Amino acid sequence: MPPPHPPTSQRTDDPAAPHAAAADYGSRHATHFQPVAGVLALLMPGLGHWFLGYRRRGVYIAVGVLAMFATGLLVGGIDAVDRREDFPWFLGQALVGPVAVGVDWVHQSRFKVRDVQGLRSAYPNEYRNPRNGEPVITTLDPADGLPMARLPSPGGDPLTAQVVKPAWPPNVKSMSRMNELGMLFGTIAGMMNLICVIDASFSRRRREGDPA
Amino acid sequence: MSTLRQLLVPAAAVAVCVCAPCALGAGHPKPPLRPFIDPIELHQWWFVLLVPMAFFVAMIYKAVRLQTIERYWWHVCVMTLQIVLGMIGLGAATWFVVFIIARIVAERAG
Repeated sequence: MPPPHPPTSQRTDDPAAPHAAAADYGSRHATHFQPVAGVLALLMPGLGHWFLGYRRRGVYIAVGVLAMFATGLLVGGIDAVDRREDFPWFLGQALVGPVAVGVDWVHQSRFKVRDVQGLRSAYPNEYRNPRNGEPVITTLDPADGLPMARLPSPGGDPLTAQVVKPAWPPNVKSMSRMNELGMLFGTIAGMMNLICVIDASFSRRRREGDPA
Repeated sequence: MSTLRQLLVPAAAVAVCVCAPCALGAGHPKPPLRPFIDPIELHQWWFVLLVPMAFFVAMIYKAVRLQTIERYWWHVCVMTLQIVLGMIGLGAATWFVVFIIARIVAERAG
């Protein structure tokens, strides 16, 4: 069983020393179980390989996994990450790390509306009241055709109601192939990161002498 | 009673089909595209997304798998091409089975 950290004798006050120590640590103990690298890889894609000294590999992994996840968001919108409606897909997406969990949290807490049945995506004719997350039905302004919403005032006085225009829904719900492909991108990114986590946790002998 | 039900059920279905889209804002304009929040409109060109997907998969896989990192991008491009061509081949094979083989089998079966 290797030591959990580089030997203390290798640590100096030099700012570059921790990286150098980690690189040396990785090259010397790369054939053993590396729990720290595995946890780091799960926290941030590529960080496990970076910790082991494989800097370029770590950067490539980070760019690949995060760009794939971001492409999923670009294709399917934020609706592509939804642990309530698409839980099996989210299990794969969560393997990307805290990024996916954070995106889902933002989706649930900042984009979904809250009505009597709980959280749901807003309909195209609804605006999300930023105060309490409740849906507000919008009407079209006959002058320019833009939707506008009348937010009820905290006291319930209709005269002091705030009018928001244009009152777009917080997000457009993705449908059909765009939703499927968005979720697929995120889930494949998570599955690929799982391979990287396993590879960082059980680094193999074949890379001995390869500093990349 | 059953006659009344036979009349009411289709009427209710028509009412739901007509009214539900209106109630859900079918006539409302779409907001301007907000990247990473709203989905993009690629319904007709969805298969093009195979290329970035294959590229990112190759990028991650080769970063893990290659023994040395030399000629990394060359290996990534080759694997991307392999995935894309492989998927095209699988699609062609599936089309052949469904539209040619299955039709022949169905005709022979009677």
